[in-house]
Amino acid sequence: MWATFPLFGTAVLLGVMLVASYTFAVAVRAGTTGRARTLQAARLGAYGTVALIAVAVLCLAYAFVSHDFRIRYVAHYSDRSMSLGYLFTALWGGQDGSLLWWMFLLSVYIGLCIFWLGRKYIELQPYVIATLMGVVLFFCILMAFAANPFATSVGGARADGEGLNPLLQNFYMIIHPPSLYVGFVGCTIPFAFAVAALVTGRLDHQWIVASRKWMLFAWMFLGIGNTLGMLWAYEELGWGGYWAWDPVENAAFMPFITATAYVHSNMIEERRGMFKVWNVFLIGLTFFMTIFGTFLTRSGAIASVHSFAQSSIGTYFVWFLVFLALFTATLTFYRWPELRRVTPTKKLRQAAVITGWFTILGLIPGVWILFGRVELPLTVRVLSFAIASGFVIFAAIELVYARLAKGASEKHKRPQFESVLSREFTFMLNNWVLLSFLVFVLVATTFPMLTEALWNEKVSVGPPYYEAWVQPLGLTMFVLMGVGTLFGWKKTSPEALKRAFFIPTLAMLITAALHFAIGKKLGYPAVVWRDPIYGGTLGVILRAFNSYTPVLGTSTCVFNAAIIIQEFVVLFRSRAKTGANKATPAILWWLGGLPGFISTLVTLPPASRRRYGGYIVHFGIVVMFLGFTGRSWNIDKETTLQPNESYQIVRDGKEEYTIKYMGPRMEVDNSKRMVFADVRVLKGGVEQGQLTPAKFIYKKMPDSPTTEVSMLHTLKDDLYLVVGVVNPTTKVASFQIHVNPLVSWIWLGCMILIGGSIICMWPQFEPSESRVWAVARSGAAVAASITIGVMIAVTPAHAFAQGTSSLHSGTVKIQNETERALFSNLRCMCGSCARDLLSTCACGTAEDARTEIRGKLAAGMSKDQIIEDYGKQYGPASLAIPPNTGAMRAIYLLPLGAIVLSAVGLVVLMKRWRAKPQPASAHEKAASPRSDDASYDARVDEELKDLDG
Amino acid sequence: MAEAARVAKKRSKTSAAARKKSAEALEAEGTPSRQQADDNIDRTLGRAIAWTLPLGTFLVALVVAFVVSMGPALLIAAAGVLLGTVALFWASIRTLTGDAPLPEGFELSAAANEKANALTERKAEVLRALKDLEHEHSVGKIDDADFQTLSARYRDEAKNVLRELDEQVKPYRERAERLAKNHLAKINGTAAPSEKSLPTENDSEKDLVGLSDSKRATASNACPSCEKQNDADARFCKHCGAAIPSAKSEQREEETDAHA
Repeated sequence: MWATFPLFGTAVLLGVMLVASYTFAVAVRAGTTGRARTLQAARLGAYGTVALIAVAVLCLAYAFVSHDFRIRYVAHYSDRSMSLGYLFTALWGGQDGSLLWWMFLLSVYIGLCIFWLGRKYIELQPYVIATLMGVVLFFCILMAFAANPFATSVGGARADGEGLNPLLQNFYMIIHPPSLYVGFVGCTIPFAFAVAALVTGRLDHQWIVASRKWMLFAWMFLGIGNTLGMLWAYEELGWGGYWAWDPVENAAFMPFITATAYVHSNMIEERRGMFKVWNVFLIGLTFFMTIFGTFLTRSGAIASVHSFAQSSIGTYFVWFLVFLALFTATLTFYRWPELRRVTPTKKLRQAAVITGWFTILGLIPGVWILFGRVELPLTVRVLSFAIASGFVIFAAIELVYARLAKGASEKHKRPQFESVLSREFTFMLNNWVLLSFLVFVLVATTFPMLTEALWNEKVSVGPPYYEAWVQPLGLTMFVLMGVGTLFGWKKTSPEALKRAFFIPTLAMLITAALHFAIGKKLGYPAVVWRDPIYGGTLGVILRAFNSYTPVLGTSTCVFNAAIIIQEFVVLFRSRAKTGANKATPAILWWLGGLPGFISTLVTLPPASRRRYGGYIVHFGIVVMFLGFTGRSWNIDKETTLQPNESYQIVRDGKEEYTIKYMGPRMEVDNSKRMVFADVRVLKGGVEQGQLTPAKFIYKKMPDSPTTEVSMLHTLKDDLYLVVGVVNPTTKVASFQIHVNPLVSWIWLGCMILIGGSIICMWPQFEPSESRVWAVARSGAAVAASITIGVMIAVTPAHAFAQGTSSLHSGTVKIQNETERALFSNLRCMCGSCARDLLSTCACGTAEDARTEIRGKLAAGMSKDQIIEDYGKQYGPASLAIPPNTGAMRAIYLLPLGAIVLSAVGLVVLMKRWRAKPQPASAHEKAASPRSDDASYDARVDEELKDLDG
Repeated sequence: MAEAARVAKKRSKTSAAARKKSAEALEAEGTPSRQQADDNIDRTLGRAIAWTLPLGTFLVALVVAFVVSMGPALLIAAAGVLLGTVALFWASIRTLTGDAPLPEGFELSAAANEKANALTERKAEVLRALKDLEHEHSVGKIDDADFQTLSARYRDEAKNVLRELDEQVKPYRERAERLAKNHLAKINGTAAPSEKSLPTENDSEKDLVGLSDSKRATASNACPSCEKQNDADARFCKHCGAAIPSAKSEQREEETDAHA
């Protein structure tokens, strides 16, 4: 066995494939027969599959610990000198292992889910299990055929492995990918519920309630993962920012958006039975996005800072995505009558499925033409695609469906909204804005792929583009978030609404006025003008809006905060009126208020608890948003100092900080030399702290020293210090200094967000249980699940090795603002650091390009001219913002078009759903009491009492 | 008891031959109580393995990790989990073939599973709407006049839904009542039963299985010759050994139902 251990590992993986297939088959059988016995067999099989996946992980762990360098993966990511802890983290450090890690996390989720399911949701269970096994099977196939972590090296065992890239051995790099994984993988469970509901046709509230909890959990971890990713970029990359709209960042962000939309829209389905198709779509889309995100990360389809070794697994992902989309679509078509609440007949079903497939197949020729399989000019291709698809959709609906469904009764009770002034409607708006945001980010992220496929031209979309466009969208979303909470379910009385709007609006206006009045004096002006990203009217409009972001940001933050505080004040006032607040022990209030506040929230009835927990989450987002707004007032400086020399950082003539460079210091350990620059930070002559930015020179890679950032955090701002070069003889050091206002609020906001999510997820008590026991049990369950989740998320893991990237090493020197503006519009074209901007990339090619551009600037060339020259020299891919010409405009026209169209759709829907005033006869009928009215009244009261608030 | 009886019934169902067996043969195969004992051993064994195997593996691996080194400990853990995998699949296949008993009450909760119903769904929605309105009113989002109109409208709908639901279960309720009455009448005809014991048993059975499963109302069975109580599906009295004809026909009916 010893000689064939790698083989054994592969065999275990194949075994997983086998047992997952068995479980899949048994589960499907259990679903079709409805026999409890078969279901139990499937449950046991699922547990067994989970256990066998654990065996595979343990085998790989053993291979690492025993330095089995016959295994290629082990040889590539570890060496004999690595400590036990790092050996374990190497387990999921590379691509092949991370797939196994992904499957392992999935198996943990499966185990928990099946245990949780127990004897609930008996009808859904078989298909939940089958779907989960299907996903496991996909990862098995992926590993068996494309990325086997147990594959052996062709050259046989080596004496020692290559070891981990020292650049990756840092804390935040270790923790942020796994926590995203926990979020990503978690989205599989709601998807399994959706599939089960579609297959069984049980599209009532059951699956919505079941999947919501899991979605919330996954959502929380997506949030944590994204924030940790920001923290990682901020602390480690050394360019002074936290979010660069990198494709992989976007990929992690997109499922977060769809999950947010789902978390809101499922409440409407629970209350009105509407939006069934929409919710299925959102869950499917979220799962799709997680797989798509993985695909973006692994396949190297879009160049990014995270781009890793390209491999063949991209193809597998593409096919899986296609399969997923078609499978979910077919199921949805099949259940179309139920989803529309029409009495299902065979005829209607057939009509829906045939029409759906007719559309899908009919669109293929158009796409074929669009993507240039036929030699035609671009305009012709786009036009013919538009005409062809328009025709197909028309034919599908008007000819195929109308004909097939002829005579079938499609009567259904049309859902009705009592009023536009209702929470239902604001949730619809919320979904619309969120999805608009998604479409925008999605188009921008995939635009390079699109242009390459469509007209063979490589472009790139950089941070300046996103920053210009995202601000209006983000602010709209943010304002709607607050406005939505002011509305109540069903109908909000206009008078009440006016009252509710009064204080927040007043607070907002006062804030804006104050900001205009004294902002400039404090150094935080209300309006900050920047260079437009485009010439022409569009550029002017965008610029004008974005310049006002600071004041808009602060005032809307105050607006939202006021709304949330007002909601809580009203809640506590109404509880005081009914005496419900006496349930919270007074001692908790004396302990500073917060314990009492939290205990009240946790003991609210479930529906209210979710609502007010949601408000806490909103508050976290407000706090985060304040942090994002702070970006407008960043100060970026460069300086070169001699030992004992001071430098004053000023903002509008006022001293922010003074740094005093004390001198360099050198330390050596086993793996590296460390050069520290000791800096004292003063403010108004008072010492604020000591900073030690550093350069680490690893023995393994002496040519690329890493940059270690040193920061002084305060709630007001962060002083972010990076040391560039330290001259060993003169001891002169060059520094990059960033003062980033309000960044700490982002991390604070994330913590509030986590707290709010926990309140939402707090399990409810079973009425039959003793209260103390129930509290203890449920509290322990929440604590345990969160702890396990956080542990899995925080267990050290390395992201993929990126040996060639310039991440985290070297520094960029920028001499003045003109240079900064120019460099942030141009991309480094060295080919290895793929997507970095000249303003952040520290590699040699970028340095050369910068020198050349400085020469041009000195020669008196204008900014636009230089950008144009650069574009001509390296092609459009070298520009961070796609030029605002010709077909390139599609990048913003497409999403804008979609947003406008969906807005029109929304208005039409709303018109249709607006309830007509009840006809008089109905009123009369309702008014005339029946004999048994009293007894039924009593029963309704009884039922209401039993219903969880 | 009822669970055991049902399992025993399942067993007899698996082979056609078993159904034809005489009383002696049935005795030899195992009485319900013996069957139940076997099942209980099975379950206890399963539970014991489920606890001791992971715990044991973990402890041994932990000790080895500290005393020897990490490598062997990982191997031991892998071996333990592999054993667990084998055990789980063994259990899965045994369950599938009908060899192993189901967890206690599993089948029952599967049977009691509420079916999807547009009306119950509507009921949940309307009740939720009333509750929401109450809350919105209490936090002042909706003023008194609007609250009165809307909640009156929803309350009317709630009552209508409840009425319709009652209409829906009416035939089942009537049938259950009729069966219970018949049964009581039959017992009253042969012997005067203690008023309490029988109806309560019927009630609990009805609650467990739900209204639709009204046949369960006749769950308990009295022997015609010795008049002692027997299990619902008993074909022979466990006290005197006499055949119980009514139970048999009842069971037949049930089986045909199940096949259909």
